[in-house]
Amino acid sequence: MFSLISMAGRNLLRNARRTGITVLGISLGLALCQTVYNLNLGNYNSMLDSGIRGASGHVVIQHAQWLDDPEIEHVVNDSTAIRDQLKADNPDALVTRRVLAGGLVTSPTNAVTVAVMGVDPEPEAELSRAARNVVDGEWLKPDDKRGLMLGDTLAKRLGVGVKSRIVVMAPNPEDPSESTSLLFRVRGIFHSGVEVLDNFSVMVSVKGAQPLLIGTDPAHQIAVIYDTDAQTQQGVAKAKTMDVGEAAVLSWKEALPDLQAFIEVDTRTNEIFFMVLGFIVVLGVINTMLMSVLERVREFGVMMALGMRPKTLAGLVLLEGGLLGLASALVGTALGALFTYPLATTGLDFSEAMGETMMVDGVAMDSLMFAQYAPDRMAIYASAAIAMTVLASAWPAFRVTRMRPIQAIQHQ
Amino acid sequence: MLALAWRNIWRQTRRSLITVSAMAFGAAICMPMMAFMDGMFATMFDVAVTQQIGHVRVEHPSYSETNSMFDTLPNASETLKQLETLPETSAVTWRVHGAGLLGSDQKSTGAMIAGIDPVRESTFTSVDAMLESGRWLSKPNDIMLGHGLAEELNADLGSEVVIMTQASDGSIGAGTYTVTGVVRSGNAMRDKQGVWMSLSDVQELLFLEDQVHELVLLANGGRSGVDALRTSVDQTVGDDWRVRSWYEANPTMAEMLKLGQQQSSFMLVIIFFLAGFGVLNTMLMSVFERTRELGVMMALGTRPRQVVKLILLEGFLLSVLGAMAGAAMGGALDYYLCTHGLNLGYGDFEMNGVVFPNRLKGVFHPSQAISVVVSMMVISVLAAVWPAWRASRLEPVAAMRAD
Repeated sequence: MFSLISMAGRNLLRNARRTGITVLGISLGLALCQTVYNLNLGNYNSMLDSGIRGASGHVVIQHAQWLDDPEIEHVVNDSTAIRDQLKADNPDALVTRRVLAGGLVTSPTNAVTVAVMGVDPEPEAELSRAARNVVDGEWLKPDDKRGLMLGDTLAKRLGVGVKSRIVVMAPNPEDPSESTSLLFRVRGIFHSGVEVLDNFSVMVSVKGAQPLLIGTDPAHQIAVIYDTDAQTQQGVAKAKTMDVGEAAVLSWKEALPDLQAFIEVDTRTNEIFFMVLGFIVVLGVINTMLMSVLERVREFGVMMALGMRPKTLAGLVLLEGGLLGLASALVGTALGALFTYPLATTGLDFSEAMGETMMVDGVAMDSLMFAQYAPDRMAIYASAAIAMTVLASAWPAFRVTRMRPIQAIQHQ
Repeated sequence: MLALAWRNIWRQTRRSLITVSAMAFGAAICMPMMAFMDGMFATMFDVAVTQQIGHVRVEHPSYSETNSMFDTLPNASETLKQLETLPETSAVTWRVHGAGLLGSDQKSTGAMIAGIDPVRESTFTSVDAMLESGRWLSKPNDIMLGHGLAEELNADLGSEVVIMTQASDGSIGAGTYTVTGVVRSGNAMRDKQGVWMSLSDVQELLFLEDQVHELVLLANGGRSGVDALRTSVDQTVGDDWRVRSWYEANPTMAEMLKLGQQQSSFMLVIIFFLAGFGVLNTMLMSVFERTRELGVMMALGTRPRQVVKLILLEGFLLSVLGAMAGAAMGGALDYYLCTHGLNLGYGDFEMNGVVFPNRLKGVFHPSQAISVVVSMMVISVLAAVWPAWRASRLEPVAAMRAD
């Protein structure tokens, strides 16, 4: 067996140039697939991260119908009690509540339709892009019932600044055909880089937004955000056993189905592209192997005449393919890792084409993208490259088994 | 020499066919991929530019920053008439924007109000594609709702809604309107919060007589006529008003379209680069096989330059075959994609405020096929350069002795 391997190796080196070109072709294709996947993985993870921090949570408790139908009356009651219990269960994690209502903000010069977001100021200071990017004034204090934050673009449109008074007109929760007005004072102005936040949203405390809802201490979501995967797994399992009445306890996988679907479809689309690349490379390999077999017809004839079995010779050809694939897998993976490096460290900047952030299915993400190494996928693609090369040698190998020694020796 | 090259590539039928099919396969995949991406960008352009910004727009100098109801263009009908006569434009429309509280008999919510000219607006957008149900505005007090808003208010066609807002004179403006249509425009925000009413109704509601917030124009000859239109609009309206082309109003979109082009080219280069390796190997082998033959030819007086030409011609012929087969297959796939569309299974997928339909159709431009065919030919001829150069360097005597 070992002699067969060394023979296959020597055969490949007999036409070093041809072998080199083929290896280069396969490895460039492989490296490209690996790099693209690594870049996408980084993207998907940052998307999920934004989604979890901004729109759901690793664990989120919400009305059973909120996911399909986020209507204002789909609230969870006694939200403070639930939040405090979650806090007690998860002392290391962030626990936050959210309210999402709509309203009309009026100032002396303008009227703008906005989303009124009620948040728990303390945890949200770490979670929200808005809280991390306050450009004037300061972020809401805990339990600040009258404070309001808004984006710089909206502030400009309304002609308001820090300490200005703002009226939010919204439907009256007791009788939605009537309207109700709430008075707030601007505590700070943020620039999050997300258009819908900066232009069409105001943020207040949960307490401040509750008059827009109906229920006892109501909120729309109570979310837990963990630091590590292990905490997440434990936390989800534990939260699922909580008694929250009619509300639903969802994991991030259940709470972000659109994002999951997007990632799945995007992965699939890319894999089709990878397969196309693979197919083109395979055609090249078939050609190379076929030529190398046809060149050696006489040689194979002599070997057969000397007692080599056709099967052994076919094995030799497959082995040559395997070695070719192995070399390509090694070179390709090295190249893939190399190409990924700058993408993982300095990243890829799409801000000119996408703006400061880009919105995908309602989730804002940075337009500076970073790749993330995915060793498992890189290994899978490398093995696929070896498998395809061996497969591409199957036809040439089959042709060898059909040779007759006498004709083969006489072959020109 | 062409005949000689042609015969040469058929001496190894199988090898040539495999090489050609690698190229053809690459081309056949590139074409629909480009058509699909162009389809995506066409949807984006349609929603963000044609329906909203227009090719060229005129507005109050500070309107784009303030969006204030007071930053209007006065004497709008006079300007509209002037703009309409410009030879560089194919369509002009005008709009008023506002915000108010919209109520049905059960509920109320905030809404973005667009006052449009029903007839003029219909040249900017496909009315049938935009209407999910009901009919387009035609009578006073007609109103169309974005589908998200209609759902939220449980407002059916024919039901009445009330709008309350602050008018420009400081009074409270209010009116009752009849829902005639439900709109699915592809603009995520407007579909969730927007209502469309006739221009005159909104002008009356907001107390803005003969004032509009924007005048929007489409260029004759599409996107290529934008710059000419912008210049001539600029001269017509004077310095008091702000004139911008779509790429000045939305530079991000312009960049995104450019990026899309680059991505397509990048993909093309990768695929043909890999196919090029196949051509390189094939040509190199075929030169080595023919060392003796080429030696004889050169001994009989064939110049090295002619040998180079012969090999390049062989590479070129391979690429022509690949291009023809690829364009035929790619064209068939394109046809399906452009007529039936492709269901990606995203559901309604939203990106940067644009909602893409579930079944997205490709858009075919002849330039796609041309760039595929040309880049394939260039790469395969380039791949034949090295083998050709090697062949030309053969010493006739040594070559004839090679085995």
